[in-house]
Amino acid sequence: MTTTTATNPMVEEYLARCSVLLWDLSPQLQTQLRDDIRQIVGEIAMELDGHPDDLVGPPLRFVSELRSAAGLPPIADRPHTPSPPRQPPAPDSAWLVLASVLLQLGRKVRAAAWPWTRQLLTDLRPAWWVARGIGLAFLLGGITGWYSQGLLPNLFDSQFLGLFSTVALVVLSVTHGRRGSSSKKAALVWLIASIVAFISLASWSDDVRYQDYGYVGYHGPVEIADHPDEHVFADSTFAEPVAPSVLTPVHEGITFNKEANGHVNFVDPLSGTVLVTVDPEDAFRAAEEMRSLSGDRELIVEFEGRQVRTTNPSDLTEAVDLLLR
Amino acid sequence: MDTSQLLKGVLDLAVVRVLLDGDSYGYEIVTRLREAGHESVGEASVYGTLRRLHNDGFVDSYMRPSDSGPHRKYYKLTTAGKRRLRDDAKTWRHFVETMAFLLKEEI
Repeated sequence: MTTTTATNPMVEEYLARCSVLLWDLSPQLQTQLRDDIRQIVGEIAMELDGHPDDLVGPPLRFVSELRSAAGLPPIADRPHTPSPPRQPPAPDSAWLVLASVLLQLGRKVRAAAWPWTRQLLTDLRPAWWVARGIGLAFLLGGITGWYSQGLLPNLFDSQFLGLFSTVALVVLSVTHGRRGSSSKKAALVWLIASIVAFISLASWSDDVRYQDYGYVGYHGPVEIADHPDEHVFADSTFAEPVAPSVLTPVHEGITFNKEANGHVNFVDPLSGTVLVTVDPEDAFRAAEEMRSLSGDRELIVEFEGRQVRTTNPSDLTEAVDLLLR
Repeated sequence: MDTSQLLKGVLDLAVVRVLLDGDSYGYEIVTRLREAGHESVGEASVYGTLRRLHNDGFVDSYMRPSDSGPHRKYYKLTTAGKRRLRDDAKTWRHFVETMAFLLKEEI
């Protein structure tokens, strides 16, 4: 008969150890005896405080006695069944083994790395709060129309206001980071602000990169009309890109006299930017055209590491002649 | 002499006799036997005996709610059990008389 009693962990643990000693009986009889043992030990445990081992003896003695009194055969020894010898993996399953190993390895690495990563991200939160505040300050600077002149934004063309707004927004961002959002709506607003701040910071870092290369106010490469396959870097002070017939395409980021060897470069001395790169045979023609376009600007003509600085545009042709001689 | 071995032979009779006084549950039967002097009787032996008597139809069982815990499994003597008690008691008495006679001169 199957009976239902409240589960007692100690009784269940004792029962589990007893169940092993019933292995040789029929499944039905095993079930009945397990119910009996649960009933017996449960009753005794209910009457007397203590562990079943102390109340009714160890499982081996208890089950032996129970089986004997119930007219059942003694506990039989478990037959020894030797485990089959392990076969080496078949060649076609080697990939499966490798995949399994890699999978296991990946799981272990992930299990080991995730807590470290999570801790790192947690530790970096204050830095992110500060960065968010700075990003918002640059955004504010951008909205007011004055961009940064370095590491701080200008607010209404005032570095002091830029510094003030940066400090204020950093303090606000850190304070909010430490306290958290009071509502879902506030959390959503801060999430949007964080994304915008990140974009603002990314734009600012891009601007700084251009500043580092000295390309402020410089536009290019410019596509030349009727010659879409040719481009030139043109200074904004030039009214038009230089005539296409003598131009050799140059690429953004290439410094003069590096990949333009063998060419004549016309360089802006203020920014160090290559304005035009031409083949030597076109240099005189380019000099003529540059003279008309450059106005009163000073220029440097450069060829194979040698430079001539011209203070007068009319000297461009002579400069080219001097360099190519 | 190991009385536990003697008790094994008559444990059926002892258990049935206890149940003649009224329905009872396992632990109470064990307690009654111990109070009667069979202090070495084991719980497993009593429950094994009850199980065998139940399988043979000499006792019946039923569940009864308990005030102090889970339901208890009570055993009651069947008609066949009562008849078995009479027969075993007669056999036991005869056995005791025989042994007493044998041991009379020794005592």
